Amino acid sequence: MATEQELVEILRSNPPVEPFRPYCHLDEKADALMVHFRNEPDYSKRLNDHVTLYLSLDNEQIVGCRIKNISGILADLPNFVRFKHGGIELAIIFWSFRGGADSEDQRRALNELAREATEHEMVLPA
Amino acid sequence: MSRWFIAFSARKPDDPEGSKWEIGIQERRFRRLQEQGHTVPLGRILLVRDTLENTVSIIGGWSRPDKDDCFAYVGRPSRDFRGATIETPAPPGMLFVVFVLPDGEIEHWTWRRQSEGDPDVPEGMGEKVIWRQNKS
Repeated sequence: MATEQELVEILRSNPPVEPFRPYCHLDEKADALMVHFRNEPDYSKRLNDHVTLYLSLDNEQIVGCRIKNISGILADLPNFVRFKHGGIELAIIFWSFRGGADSEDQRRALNELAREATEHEMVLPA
Repeated sequence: MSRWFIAFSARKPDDPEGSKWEIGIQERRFRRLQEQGHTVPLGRILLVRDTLENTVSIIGGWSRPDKDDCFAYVGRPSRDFRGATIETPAPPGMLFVVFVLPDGEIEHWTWRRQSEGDPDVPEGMGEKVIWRQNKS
């Protein structure tokens, strides 16, 4: 087990390479897409079977999300979306959950995720 | 030499005797956080250690049909990190959860609200508690 001091030393000797920028990452092993809009202290809260929200501990604003079972969604995507240049916008993924939203809170959260993704011009990782 | 960039010792989920196994964070996962400047989860690696050292419960599966062989270690650290080095008190009413793949790779870590009916289990994760700390 790494000691506390060893962990502190690892963190100290490996500082961030650049300031935070919004990003998304596809984790094939976990079959999940991680989306991060802001670098803020957060906690997670399940929105539905596929989406877990990351919410700010300070103000409950959405700072990111995790989309589970992403491989099935990505496999189906070419049936609905075609693109010629660049990647597919991340926001379309949130739209795919919109029809299954069963509460106003869910619809609001999905819209907020899509708005943030669009504002930050995020595209699905290749 | 360990296969992990950062190795931890954790209670083996399926061993009632409480033996340990080595789990850890792969270097590519650490480097991604470092390259993205994502300092909050970097600082919270210290909470991963706190949680694995003082685990209050272990959940089997990640509440997903194809993730039955994964685990979630649950702890109640007394602190949080707002960056790699900025320590603050833990958020009230929350548990820290470390998600582990079957091969021992730590996949992610996060705070989650504790269940109303069971303070040792995170909200929405009570279906398969496979171990909990004996409080007697």
